[in-house]
Amino acid sequence: MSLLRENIQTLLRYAGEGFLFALYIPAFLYLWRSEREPWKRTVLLHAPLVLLVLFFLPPVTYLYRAMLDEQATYYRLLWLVPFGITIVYAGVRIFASHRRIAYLLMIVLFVTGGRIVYRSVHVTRAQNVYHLPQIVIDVCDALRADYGEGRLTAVFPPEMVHEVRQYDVDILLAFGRGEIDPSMHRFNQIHEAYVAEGPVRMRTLDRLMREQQVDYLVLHVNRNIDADPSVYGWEPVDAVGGYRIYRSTQ
Amino acid sequence: MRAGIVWLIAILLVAPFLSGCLPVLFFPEEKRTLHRTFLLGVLLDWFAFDLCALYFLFFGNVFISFEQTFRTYCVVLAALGIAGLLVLFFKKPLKLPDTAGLLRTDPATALCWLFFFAVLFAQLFLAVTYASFDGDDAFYVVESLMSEKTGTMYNYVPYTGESARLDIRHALAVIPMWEAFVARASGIHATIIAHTVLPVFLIPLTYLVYYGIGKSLFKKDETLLPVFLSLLAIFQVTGNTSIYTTETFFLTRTWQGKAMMGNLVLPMILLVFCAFFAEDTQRAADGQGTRAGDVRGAVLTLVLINCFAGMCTSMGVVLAAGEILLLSLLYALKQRRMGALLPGILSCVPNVCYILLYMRLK
Repeated sequence: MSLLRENIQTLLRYAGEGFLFALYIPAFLYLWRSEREPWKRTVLLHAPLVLLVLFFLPPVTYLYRAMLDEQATYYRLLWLVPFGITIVYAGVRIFASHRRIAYLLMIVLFVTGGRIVYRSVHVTRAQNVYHLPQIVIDVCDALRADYGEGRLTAVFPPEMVHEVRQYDVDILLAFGRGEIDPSMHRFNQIHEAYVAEGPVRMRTLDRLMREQQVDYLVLHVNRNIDADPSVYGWEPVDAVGGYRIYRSTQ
Repeated sequence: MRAGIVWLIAILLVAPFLSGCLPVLFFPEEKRTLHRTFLLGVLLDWFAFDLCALYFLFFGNVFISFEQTFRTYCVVLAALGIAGLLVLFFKKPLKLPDTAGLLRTDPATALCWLFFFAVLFAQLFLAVTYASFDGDDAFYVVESLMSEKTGTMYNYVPYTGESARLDIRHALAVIPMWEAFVARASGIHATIIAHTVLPVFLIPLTYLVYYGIGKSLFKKDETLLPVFLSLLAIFQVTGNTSIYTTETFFLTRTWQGKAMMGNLVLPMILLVFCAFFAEDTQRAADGQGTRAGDVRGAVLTLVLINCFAGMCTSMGVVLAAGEILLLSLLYALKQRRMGALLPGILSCVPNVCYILLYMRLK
């Protein structure tokens, strides 16, 4: 029963905030009543119906998890249901003899009922052709200008670790996405020391960075530290867009 | 940069068109359209890359496996292109579009097409000028970049750069390696290829698939096709009702294997079945039976799609096989011939091989 409840939750999360099912269900019912071509009924009605029934069956959920070893992606079974094609096909059929109305009405329905992808919080104007935050590129370039060619190891703030290596793979990270994403269960002491509450304990961070042979430390100017890094042999080499870059001198 | 763009055009447009002249020969003459040729060519090129990459992943020199893949695939791609060129010139296999028919298009339909292309170009423009953040890029895009730079495949932890054993769960899905190939061949940074270049290729490719689906759905009135496509394009833009929908993946994670699985693999399977069913129904109405050429073409295309599904993501082979077998079963039940299930089963042989390989290596 709890699996069934979970699957219902998954479906509701998939539908999200928009009118996906408010559009799909009427489209589905309209085609069920009016679509005469057998093959279209198979593709747009019978197959999706079977899929939706299977989606809710606990044995199917167990099988999916056993085969693919992934709980969080069960919603991808819903990708087999052609929601968009069904909704648009039904709409075009309903308004076939009134195309202008079809256009206007459906565009209004989609825009008001849906969510425009470009308004997502995850989508912003590109600052460069890499589609990476420019500040990450600037900090990496500053490191490169100081170090020269070759591989180096650096400690970056958590907000940058996703993008650094998308720009320069010769910058190795002391900690990366695996450590900052709790679901990945990776542990790194430098990361723990870096993000610990309160001021960064520079003595501890220094010892850990020396152990891992870190070459550079990048700190945001607002990040409190209990001591000047230069006391521990970390020479400031540059400041870029609110981030200070320190180089190991030992 | 100019040379890079020339290479991109060669790899992403010219090569698939030429390669496609080979598999399209499996189709009956009147089915050898430009659009089918191009789609088949893209699938054949990806299939060839998949074979090269997997071969060197397991049997190549671990320190230069990507180098070996790159060199071999260049030769294979060139061979496919030359073979395609020879077929194009000597066999003249393609059915050219009806340009006279295009000129006779009524103004309303022409306006619908204009609207569709306007929405498409808007999507392409926004794909290039807007950036989307996704944590998975720290894995996939970095894998591409590392392969491009180091000449290896899946030998490092992408998040930090430390050495690692082969991660079989991800390694069999070699789409990041293909992106690395495109980057190396064009001389353009792999991250630029992923974020800026590939959406410009993959978004129109997806609509080409929907065009094919629409042609089958609106066979009796093709003037509705641009209405269908333009409204579908609007639906794609407004489909971000949650982070889980294919529409969200389509426009914000276009270059990732899982996005390609949801927006290319699964619709391509639907396209094959729609085209086959529409043709079969027409032939039945004319008192003719199922044509062997149609079955042959469909099975070949599904085999290529299934290989591409494995390239995209491990779960792709399971979902693709599921969709194919379900549609085949429903067709067989309707026809009251369980033998009609056989082509669908045969087309899933690559999926079975993939799953066995995955289980063996896990």
